Amino acid sequence: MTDRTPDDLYDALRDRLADYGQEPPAPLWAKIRAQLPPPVAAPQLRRRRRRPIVLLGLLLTVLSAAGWQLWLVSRSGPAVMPAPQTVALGSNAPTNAAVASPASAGPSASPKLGKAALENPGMSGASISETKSSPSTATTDNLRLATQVRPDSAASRRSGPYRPQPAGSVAGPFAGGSQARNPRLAVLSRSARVRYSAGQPSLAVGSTDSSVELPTAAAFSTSGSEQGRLPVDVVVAPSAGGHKAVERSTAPVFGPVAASATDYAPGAPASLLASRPVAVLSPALPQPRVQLRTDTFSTAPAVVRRWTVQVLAGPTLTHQHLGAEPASDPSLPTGIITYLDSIVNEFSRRERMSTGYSAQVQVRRVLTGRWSLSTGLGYQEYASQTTYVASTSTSTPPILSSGVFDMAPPSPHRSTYRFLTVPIRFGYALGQSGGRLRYGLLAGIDAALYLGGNSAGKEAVPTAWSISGSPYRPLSASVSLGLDFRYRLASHLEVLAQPTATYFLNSLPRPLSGLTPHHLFGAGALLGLSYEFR
Amino acid sequence: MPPPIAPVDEALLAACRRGESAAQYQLYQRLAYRLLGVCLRYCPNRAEAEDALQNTFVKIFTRLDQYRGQGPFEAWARRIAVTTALHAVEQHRLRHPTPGTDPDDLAADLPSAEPSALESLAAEDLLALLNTLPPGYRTVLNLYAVEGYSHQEIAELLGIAEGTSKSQLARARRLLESRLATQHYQQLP
Repeated sequence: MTDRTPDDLYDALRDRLADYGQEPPAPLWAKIRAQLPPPVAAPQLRRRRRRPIVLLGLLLTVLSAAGWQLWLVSRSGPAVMPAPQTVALGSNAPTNAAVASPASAGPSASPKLGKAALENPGMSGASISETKSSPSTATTDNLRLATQVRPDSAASRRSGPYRPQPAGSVAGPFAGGSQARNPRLAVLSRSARVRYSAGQPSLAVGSTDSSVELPTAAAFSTSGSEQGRLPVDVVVAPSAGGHKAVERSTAPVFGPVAASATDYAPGAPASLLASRPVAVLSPALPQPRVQLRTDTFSTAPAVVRRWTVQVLAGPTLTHQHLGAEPASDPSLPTGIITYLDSIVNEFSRRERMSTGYSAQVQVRRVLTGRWSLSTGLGYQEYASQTTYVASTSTSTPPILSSGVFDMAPPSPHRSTYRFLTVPIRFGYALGQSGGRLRYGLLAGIDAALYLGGNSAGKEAVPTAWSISGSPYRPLSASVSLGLDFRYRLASHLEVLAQPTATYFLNSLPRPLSGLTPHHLFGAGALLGLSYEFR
Repeated sequence: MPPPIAPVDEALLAACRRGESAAQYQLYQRLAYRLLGVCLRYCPNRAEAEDALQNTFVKIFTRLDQYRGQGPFEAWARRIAVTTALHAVEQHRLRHPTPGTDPDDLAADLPSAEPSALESLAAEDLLALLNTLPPGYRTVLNLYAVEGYSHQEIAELLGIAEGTSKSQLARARRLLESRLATQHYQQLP
């Protein structure tokens, strides 16, 4: 309106006609109402909006549960320690631990021992020795007491009621406190499994997978015989002062076991035994094997090691795939609206690939040796370049003139679509895992929340959309497939490169928007860093 | 009876976006009177104008989410009415082609009228007088004089050159003045 000049005739025309009007006919509203879509009830609106969120939450729950199960399965793999086993007899063996007979301990004793092992995963001096004070009197309470022994309390108790007993006593020289002089010998593998040759029923010790096959009370009663001897490699680690307990020893120590040790040193005074370790090897006897669950204690530190936080960002080449048929709204009249639709559809067909970008913050969890799961938050911008626009005027839409579309001179326009994403990625590592460079496959889905953008709507005019009021779906889903390259810079730090392709599963415009259905897709390389917690 | 001129409040628009019939009807009652006047100024007859008004309201209600609040809602609705009416005119022209006559011949050797001649005409008579103008002239004259569009906007809207818009406006003015003068002289005793 810059070229307007005052004119009396035009001013008079405007004064007379600007507010001129006439009453429309009464049936006109009925015709209009018949062409409008039926009103959507508020509950339906809420339900429709909530449905994707509920589905997304359900998907996340299922994926989390599946990942957790995979993790549990990966941790429960058996590992058998090669024989011969080394068992340490701690000073607190007679009292701090107890092994009940199958009849007295029962199944309930097993979890408690397993709990004890978990509670002392890293203690260097803890002695989780298991002994049989009396096969017939050991109770569940004994086991509970035994499992609650702490390293510091174990040392303090050694000096008290568990002093060396006179010769002939079962605990004898080993009860005065012990210290593992040779920790290597004192360490017992988590997968060790004790098995006695007496062929007696086994007793689960530790977790449910643990089993210690013990002789019966009758077998132990013959403490002086070969049958009653400890049929394992035994390291007697008497302590000079009871300073440190045997490291991670889960030795099943029994009364007959102690007796067998004294058999090997029948004349040894208690002081001599207390001053130096005595190793008793009996390779001819059946080797004990203790099989414990991997989650008892030794793998506890590995749980923390599997978590990583990674930050990724990078450019992406994005475009959109137009659907086969334009969306049609049966309630809309043909004619004008179809005419405008055709402009917009032509507008969309002329769009070309452009560059967007993406940034993500993810938490990654290694499920097994090769599988991993990562999720987090991201920001993604899709863009496309338009070679021409129908009309760049924001005040007037284009109209049909002389039966053809009148397009303004070509002018570039960049349509953008911005999303907040929740990426969920499954990774599968390929190749060897020992080197600095690792690589693998990535696949997953993204939940994309439309944040806004700048694109042409129904009026074929570029418009800056916000979250609300846009002709696009607020929530979309996309699938991603890519590669994962990792190069370890330091013990905790890795450089990441993830070439990834993404495709929208659903059409971005709403079904009733009248816009041509189109699916966004893009391919790019995300670069970033990964910090690994240990 | 024209409804009072009052800005459409956001609550009413929000209710219309939700598809509430009562709100839609209320908005229709507030806008229909003047929007029919817009359509009547462009369309060749009342039936075409009513069809254009119907399509205008359908577009308004189905594209309410595209109204960004930049400017009065009535102006936004009026622009939709203008474009819809122009499209109706174009469709009518395609359906009913008329033999071409040189509009310049219509305005040749006719006396010009004073702007005060408009004062003596009722709005309906003035509208009828405008309808005697060729469609192209009437359209440009309406867009420029009544709607307030610039020649650049008219050119973009109609897909014509800006110079064409100016020349058509000048000829439309000359023709309107001559017809006003003719009518004025006929009314003189």
